[in-house]
Amino acid sequence: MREHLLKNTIKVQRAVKDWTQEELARSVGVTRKTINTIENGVYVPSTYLALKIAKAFGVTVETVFQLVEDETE
Amino acid sequence: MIDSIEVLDRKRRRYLFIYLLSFGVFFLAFVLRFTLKNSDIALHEADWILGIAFGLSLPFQAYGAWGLNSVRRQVKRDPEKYAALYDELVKYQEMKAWRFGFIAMAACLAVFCVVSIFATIKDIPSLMFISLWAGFGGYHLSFYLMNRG
Repeated sequence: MREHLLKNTIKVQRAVKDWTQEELARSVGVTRKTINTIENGVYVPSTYLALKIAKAFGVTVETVFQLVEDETE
Repeated sequence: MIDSIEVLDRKRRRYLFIYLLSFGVFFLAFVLRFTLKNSDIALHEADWILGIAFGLSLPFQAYGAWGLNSVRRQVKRDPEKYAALYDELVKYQEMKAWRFGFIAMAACLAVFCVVSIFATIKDIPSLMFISLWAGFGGYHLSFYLMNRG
């Protein structure tokens, strides 16, 4: 079975909105650290949080999070 | 809101660090006492070492525990803040920390189990305390390290 990685475009979406991590954290009701760990791919958010993040940006969840094949395999 | 959440998050980490450090001092003193008592050397001194370490670390342990509790109390009045401070990342880290704490306790018991084959362990209650505290300390230490990032 091929492994997949969860990539995200949170940094890009934040740049589009001109938001800091703190501002995004405030709009979804988590700490800045949580946003930071998600953005850096350290933590995989729950479906609920992923949807909240997408909603905060006003885009679909697929725009923010994508499954990509692990090329290191 | 976010400033106060970030401030509270930093406070929580700081209080946890104080608590961990003081608990670590006490725990190491207890392990030292246990080792000395089992080696039949410096029995009286071993109790003194523990007494001094306990006396020195207790105020800091109390301060750390009080601080952690005060942070929790502050956000409990505001469900939105509570949800932000104890968000899913923190819950995930707590869950992982529980597992680490359990492994630390089990590993500690396993070490004592192996040691007991080759040597006689006299102070069984202390052995149990050490194992329990290894689990307790392991939980807090791993949570702190994960939360610190």
